[in-house]
Amino acid sequence: MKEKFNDEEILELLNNNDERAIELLFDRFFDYLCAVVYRVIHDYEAARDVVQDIFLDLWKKRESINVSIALRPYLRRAAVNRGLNYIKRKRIIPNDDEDAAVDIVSQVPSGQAYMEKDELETRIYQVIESLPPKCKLIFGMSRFESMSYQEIANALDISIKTVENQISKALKILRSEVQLFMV
Amino acid sequence: MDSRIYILTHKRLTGQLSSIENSELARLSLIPENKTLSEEIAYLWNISNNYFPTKDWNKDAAKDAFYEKIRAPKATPIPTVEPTPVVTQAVTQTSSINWKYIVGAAAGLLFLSWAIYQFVFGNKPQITAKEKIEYANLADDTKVWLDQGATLTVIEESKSSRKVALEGEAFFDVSHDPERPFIIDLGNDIYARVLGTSFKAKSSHEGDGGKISVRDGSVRLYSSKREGFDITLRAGEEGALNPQEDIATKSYSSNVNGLMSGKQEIVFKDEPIEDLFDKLGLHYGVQFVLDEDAQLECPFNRYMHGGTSLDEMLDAVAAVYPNITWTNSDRSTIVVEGNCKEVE
Repeated sequence: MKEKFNDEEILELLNNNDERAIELLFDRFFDYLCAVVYRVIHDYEAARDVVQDIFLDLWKKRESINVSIALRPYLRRAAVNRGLNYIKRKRIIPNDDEDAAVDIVSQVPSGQAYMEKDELETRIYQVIESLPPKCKLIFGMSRFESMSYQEIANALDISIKTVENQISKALKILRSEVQLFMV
Repeated sequence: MDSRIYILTHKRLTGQLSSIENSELARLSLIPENKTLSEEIAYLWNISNNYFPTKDWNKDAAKDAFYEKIRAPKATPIPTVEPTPVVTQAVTQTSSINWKYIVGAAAGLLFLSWAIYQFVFGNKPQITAKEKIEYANLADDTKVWLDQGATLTVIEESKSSRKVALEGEAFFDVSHDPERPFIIDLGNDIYARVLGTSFKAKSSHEGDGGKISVRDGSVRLYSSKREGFDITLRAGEEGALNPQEDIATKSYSSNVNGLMSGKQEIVFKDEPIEDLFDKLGLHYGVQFVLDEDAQLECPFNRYMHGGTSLDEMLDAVAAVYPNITWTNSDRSTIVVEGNCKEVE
């Protein structure tokens, strides 16, 4: 059974050049941080690279690093910021074809009058994954990173009106697809 | 019109609804179809928050790649070449004189900035929430949660009075002291006066008057320039004062307390952590299972936007109590362990 270390102890190991710190950080946070970044940038490989870079930076600064808050929110913030920088750097502002149909795979038997909560959630996740790229990006920034219209517009260098349109579009798709599923 | 409901509902869920838009949404929601639509959007929005991509992130391969990178031999340093001494003495001297000017000018500018700052603000403590909500615990134990972009200046803290100035929005939990009223300068000669209560205040610098939403106790909102132009607000009420436009409004407020779907704020005041997890579970549609060894008898104080995600809520808990940990046993069950030792 693995020894339990708290945040403070992990940081102490890190400050002391102890590679066990990296083991612990990977085991505790890698999957979580990848998922956090993926929800913003929707690119599996890029999300892994972003998170790996965070660990590399931690290792480079290991002797001087001083984290005054808990590690989880600290790393999460770092991951999200890097994810957003990745979008800016790569200029990943997809142009959605407004008429493109949303291709969502339905896996639920027809004629079902209601859904269990789990099924509903699964359906919602499918719809989110299937949103057009630009729509998905903006919806994710609002839903999962609590960014305001202004912040999203600034981050992507687009107008607030575009943000409004994409949010509205995402919610409309979500509602209509989930409703279709429920009938 | 359909799109407008989507946007207004989304703004309400994410705490971005202005008071005008709030009225617009209320008006539109009088039509039953719109009300149903708005409720459905809110429901889907809340459930979608649980979305967390579960993929195989190939952690071991990432770990191997990491070790490969940190153990890679360092590249041979490129030998440095001594610069040829071609720089003339005259050039060196000119450069030295420029530096003196630059340093002198910079020092002068710094002094001037300091003098202006001292003239305007004196030594008054000030806190600004630049990028996120900031928490301040004042000398009299009044707690303030400053909204993003808000600034609080402590003007006076004496035996007879407590006075602060607010620009932007903040939630106040004022410590009770009948001898020393707590006064907030909301700008444009509008003030709020309380003895001890909790409420949300918005300054009038943006031209729409000072605004207060009261959670408990009572608050008097008044203009220092117009005697009698005031309103007293009690728990559950909100009001605004705008002397320029001769407007004093008072109405029932539904957004100052608790963790409820669609509310613009989430306020926890001395909430026991155990109860907090119950409420979060209900709100976010997950089940928190408290480990039997967990010691969670501690209070939680926080003010957050209604659109706050579960991750952010948990991050807020972790920021105060880093020894509380949680792990997902499956997608909808979270096991909580640890104790309430606070961060120092």
